[in-house]
Amino acid sequence: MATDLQSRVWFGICIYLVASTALIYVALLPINMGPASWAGPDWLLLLALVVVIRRPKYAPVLAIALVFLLADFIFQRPPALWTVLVVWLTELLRKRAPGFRSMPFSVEWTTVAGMILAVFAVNRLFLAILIMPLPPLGLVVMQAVATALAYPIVSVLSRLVMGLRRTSVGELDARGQRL
Amino acid sequence: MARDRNTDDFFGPIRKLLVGVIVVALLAIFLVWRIDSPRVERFRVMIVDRFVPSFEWALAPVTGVANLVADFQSYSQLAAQNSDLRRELQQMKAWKEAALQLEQENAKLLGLNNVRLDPKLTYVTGVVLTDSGSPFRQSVLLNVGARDGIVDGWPAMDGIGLVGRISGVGQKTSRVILLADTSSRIPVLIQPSGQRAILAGDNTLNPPIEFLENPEEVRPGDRVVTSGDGEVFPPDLQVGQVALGNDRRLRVRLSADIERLEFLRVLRAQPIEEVTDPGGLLTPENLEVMANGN
Repeated sequence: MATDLQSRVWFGICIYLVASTALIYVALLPINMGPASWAGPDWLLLLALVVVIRRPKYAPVLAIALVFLLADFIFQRPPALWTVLVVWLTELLRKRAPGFRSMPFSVEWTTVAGMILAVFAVNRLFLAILIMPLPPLGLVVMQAVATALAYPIVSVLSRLVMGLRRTSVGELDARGQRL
Repeated sequence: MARDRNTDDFFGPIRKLLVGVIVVALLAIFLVWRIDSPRVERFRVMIVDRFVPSFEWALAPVTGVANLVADFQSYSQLAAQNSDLRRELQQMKAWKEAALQLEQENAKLLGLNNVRLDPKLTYVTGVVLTDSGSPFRQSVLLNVGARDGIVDGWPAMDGIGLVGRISGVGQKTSRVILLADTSSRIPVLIQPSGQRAILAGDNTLNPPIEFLENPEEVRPGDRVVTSGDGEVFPPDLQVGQVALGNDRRLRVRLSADIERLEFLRVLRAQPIEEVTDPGGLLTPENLEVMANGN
């Protein structure tokens, strides 16, 4: 049974890694080039948050750190700064993940949205303190708000595509393991 | 199941340690980048060089299909486009005639003067692999790199105008920072008034002109070319035309279509000035003399 559980967790981690790589790849497609006047949500961050809240074991901290470090390097961001903030955010949520099961979705959404806005603000604060070139404020605010608003969408999508249901208190899987 | 819970508790402290180690390692990477950014940037180029070409097989068809869909959508305006094109073609014919005459005249004059055109402006053509992947940075990745002889700082053009400059060369790929990027600064010359200025990207389609001495001498429609000031960038590359932005600032409407880049020419320019260090503080040269004199 133990090896079975292990292999399921490994499978979950693999799915998370593949989905993250796919998101990076889609972002890189040279389809709409040129300066945009709007910024969509940060899908990579949302995926990490949803997986951490639904199935913390599928997104171990090392996997999250590697995915975001790769993204930092590829998207020309200051390396590791955004990664540290995301690791910190996911660790906070990981601790609270069991608590979310007994709460309505709206509470979960509000908490996550607040944290997303906070992490964007802290990121900008760090950039400002260390006198680094700041991206345009309007776009950053737009992206932060869009990310917070898109959380339910990713939540639904993760359920449809990756089969991550919202679990209730003490729910067990088919083999009687804790989820 | 009881074991499961126990293992969670058992791994608690070790997990905390692991998280701590990861956070410290990440902060270390960030600090190293802040202190010695050229080295880490070279590492970044290496990672991109490894990661992106492994996707090349997938990038091309998906991009192709997306462009196909976009083209298909434009079929709906086919009739309108057709008449527009006809009118444009009519105008172009007149221009072609003028261009041919000028070319002949030019050839004659060059022959009279025994001028040999500068052979150093040959080019390497690259295909755009990816864009920057973020709305805050304006750059594209080309499929030519150090193995094709690309060197940092060379200008990249599409068929008509300047697009940007090479910044970051990997073995198989190189990055072009577009003129629209917030970190792009290009010395330009505005014709016919002959004024020098800096074209400073600000993440919009039409970058503004900065450090212009006499804005009143510049009119919308004036030609903008690179000036070659500082000798890091070759002179006389076409950039675009002056336009007056909605915010009453003078901006440049780029000749290059930076929203639809597919093939880019990287010009083999020989920069006389090499940029090796971040650069020191700029002070007036006679400051020291004055201090000594007093």
